[in-house]
Amino acid sequence: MQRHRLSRIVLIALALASLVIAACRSKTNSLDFDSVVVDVLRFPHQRHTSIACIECHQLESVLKHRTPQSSRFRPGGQGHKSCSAAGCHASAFAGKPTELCGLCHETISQTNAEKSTLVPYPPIAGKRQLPLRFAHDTHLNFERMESRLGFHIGCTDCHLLPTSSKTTKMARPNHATCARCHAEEVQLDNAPTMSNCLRCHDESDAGRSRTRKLIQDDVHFSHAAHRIDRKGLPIACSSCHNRTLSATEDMAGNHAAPTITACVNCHNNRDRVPSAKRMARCESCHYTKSAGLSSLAPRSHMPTSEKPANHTRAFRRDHSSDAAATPNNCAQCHSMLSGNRRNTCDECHQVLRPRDHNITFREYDHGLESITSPDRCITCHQVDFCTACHQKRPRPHFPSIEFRRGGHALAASINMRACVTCHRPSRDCSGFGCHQGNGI
Amino acid sequence: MGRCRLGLMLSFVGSTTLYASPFTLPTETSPRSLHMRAPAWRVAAAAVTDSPEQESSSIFSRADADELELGPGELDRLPGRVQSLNALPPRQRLSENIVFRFNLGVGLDSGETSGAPLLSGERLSRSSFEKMRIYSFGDAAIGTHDLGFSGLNTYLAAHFQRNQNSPTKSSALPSVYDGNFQQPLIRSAYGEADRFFFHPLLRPIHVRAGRSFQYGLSAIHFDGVTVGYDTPALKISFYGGQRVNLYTFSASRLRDSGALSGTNIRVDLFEWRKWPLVLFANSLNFDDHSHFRTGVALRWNQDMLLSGSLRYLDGTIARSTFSLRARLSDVTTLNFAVHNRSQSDWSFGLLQFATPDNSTDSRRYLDLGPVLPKTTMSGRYGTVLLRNLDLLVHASGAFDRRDDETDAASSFNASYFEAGGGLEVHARRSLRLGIAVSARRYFLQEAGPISRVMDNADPLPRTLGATGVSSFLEGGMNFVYSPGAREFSASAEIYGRRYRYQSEYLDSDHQDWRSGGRFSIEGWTFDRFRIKSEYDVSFGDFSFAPELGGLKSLRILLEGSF
Repeated sequence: MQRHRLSRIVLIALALASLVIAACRSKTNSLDFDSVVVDVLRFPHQRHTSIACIECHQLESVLKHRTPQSSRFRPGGQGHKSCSAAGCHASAFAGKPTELCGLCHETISQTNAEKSTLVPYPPIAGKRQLPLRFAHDTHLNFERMESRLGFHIGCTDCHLLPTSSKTTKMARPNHATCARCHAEEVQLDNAPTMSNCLRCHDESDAGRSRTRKLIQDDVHFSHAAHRIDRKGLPIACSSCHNRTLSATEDMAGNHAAPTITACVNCHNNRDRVPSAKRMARCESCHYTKSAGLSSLAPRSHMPTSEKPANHTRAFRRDHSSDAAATPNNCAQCHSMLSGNRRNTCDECHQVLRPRDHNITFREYDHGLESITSPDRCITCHQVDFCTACHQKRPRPHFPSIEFRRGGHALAASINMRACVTCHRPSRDCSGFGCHQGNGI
Repeated sequence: MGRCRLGLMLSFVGSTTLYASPFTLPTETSPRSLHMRAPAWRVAAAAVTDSPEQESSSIFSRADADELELGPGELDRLPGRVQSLNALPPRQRLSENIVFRFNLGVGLDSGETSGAPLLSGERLSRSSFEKMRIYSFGDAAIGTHDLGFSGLNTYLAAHFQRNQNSPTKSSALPSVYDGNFQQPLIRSAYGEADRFFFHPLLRPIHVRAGRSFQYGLSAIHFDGVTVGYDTPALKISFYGGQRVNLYTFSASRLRDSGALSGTNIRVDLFEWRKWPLVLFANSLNFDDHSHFRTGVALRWNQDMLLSGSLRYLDGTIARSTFSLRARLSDVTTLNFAVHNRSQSDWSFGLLQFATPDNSTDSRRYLDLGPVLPKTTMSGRYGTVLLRNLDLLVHASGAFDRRDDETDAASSFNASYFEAGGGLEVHARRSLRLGIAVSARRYFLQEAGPISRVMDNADPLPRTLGATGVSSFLEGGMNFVYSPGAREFSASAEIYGRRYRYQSEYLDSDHQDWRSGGRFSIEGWTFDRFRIKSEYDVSFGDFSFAPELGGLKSLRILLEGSF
């Protein structure tokens, strides 16, 4: 009995001891986001419109572009000064971590500030608050910039090329980049200044999504390796980013990733790319090689000027609206096209023959098809084209006397429909008393 | 050059004077890292003054310079670019204003004789039959755009084909060019003035005069004038002139070329107010007939159009059409259409109505009988599976809607159902393989027995609705090898077709087999010239031409694009 009591006391002591140890040890807590009443994933800028932007976003950080992950220069850094200075959220930082902390912190360590990890900022992908409005087409319009400002800028003025061979991405522009032209003291005419945050940041809560789809998964790419081609000639940014030059500020994700077509244009050109980097070598861009059906190269990776990706079998039949909308595109490859945008179907249809117009079709099979779908024929041919041949006596009708006597019997018995295309039975068959008419 | 850079840096510093910005917090210093690019003209002027050889030492040409975007760290390359920019106007080069394309070739058509006699029982004689025909052919097209005057476009397209042998002999492969008409055939020859008004409202007006095509109610080829107003939201055109007859169907060619006039109107409310409606109307007066078509389309977006239209011929509804055209993605399309033809419709285009009785009118040799009501439905779906497999499936059907009481049956108007599909795969980057199958079944009337009398010619069948092709089956494969764009390609295509015939004169269905292949190679040289050779061969069990064992055709052409 005493043994049982002793063991019970030991167990209780051990439990108490473990509780004490656990209480002393637990300094880093994961936040319970379920109890948070605010959207912890997004800072509510709309609730802070009475505060100037720079009261939270330190100018030094904004203009000198300290790394966004540096806690010192993040809003709320330096002892949460911007959040508590005016007494707004001072109480939130005095006691235990609250829901508010979750806006900026993933984890919180009360004993070691360095271990309080921050939420990544700003997110590269996904929806963003106060998203940037930037018009590439305005900034890259050389002539307009030259005429209005006396100078122009290029892509690499804002997107700096990587200096290290280990770095493959272009540097992302930041506020310091913009300030080189848009700072107050530069006094550019008709240009927004850095103090006017909302001129560039969209106040609406639309939260544009910024996605880059080309370089992902097992695809690797280096901007540094794409400065010059095989012959040492420069590769213009616009040869890949061909949609950027016309991107307006209203276009979401206006610096769209290049299409694979842009890659194929060069990587299929032996003059520009060495054989080891041609499109046929999957490993030029992919780390892994798949097997089976999925190892078939996508159509988008095929030589573009041979046939665009959208030129499918269905497109061969149904291309009228595309051809009418962008005749210039067609004229790039198809002969005899002038590129005029009005009524130019004939320029192709009078020259190029449909695929099924082979020798068998020409001599034997076109009749059936013209009966079945006459609308297709009259796209190119008018009746005088048909009668140019049909008015002549067919070769099997020679010599005509023998053919009339009985030579036509076999052909007529198999397919009399071919006969009545030219002959009216009541006139030509029974009219001379040869065949007994049956009223046809 | 070094002094120049120093001066530039000083000018940067001078331009970035300290400024008490309201953006600056009282405790913070004002930003000091502003670097604005100096005006390009200043850099260029200084560079040219200091170092006139700068441009020649640049690795960039004037054309390249326009394409480049260089950072401030590469200012030494800037002068070349700036000078190029200054030297750019006029930007357009002559090649952008003129299009000249031609092809010139020679062809050989041949029919291999089988040794069997003709249907008439006679054998082919050398005096009347030409086993091999040699001909030359060519096309040329010249177009100008904004040449001389802004907004002036011209286009000339012509074709010729000339037999090198005697045209009097019959041949295995007759050609429309055996006819006696003038060559070359001028397909188009027009001038078009566009944007000749400065007022924004009048600027979309254009005028085209000469030989051209008009699309709308049908494809109309005519010599005349078109006046149009062309904006994304509103398109109107009026045209009038004389129909072009490149070939002829009457002894008197003048009869073929009647006067015509017409109107095309299209109002796209989607382009105007984003209202998803498009209204359109077309009219045409030709050969004592008036044609009119009107319709409305529901347009959700650029890639989705649901439309319905009615076409009238001399005031009577000739055809009603409903169609859906959808582009679901860049490579996925869906098309569906229903055509409802009445007996008031034309037989075969604008020129063929009732069969003419005039013996000099060759249209009597294209007699498809009276027009009967018919409903045709067709659907096509195409997509790319697994990012590589190009798939097309299609189906169509037609329903003979004639009145059994009043209209005689005709196999030209027989109901049918058709289905097929095709698949193409890029097996290797340079090799494409494709297959296609298609089958069609015609629903002819039941063939009844023919009562034959010995030593007498067979009587004619009771109806023409029971004779003709009852089914059709086709299968084919194609291979294309193309190692690169506009370099070289080779293709091969083989196919086989089976036709089954129903006839009251036969105890069982008769069938014909046809097969053939087409092989071509083409190569590009000097970027502008293409040489192409195509060999087309056909074999079969030809019931109607037992004297032939097969057909062959070889065409070699040179094509140039400038």
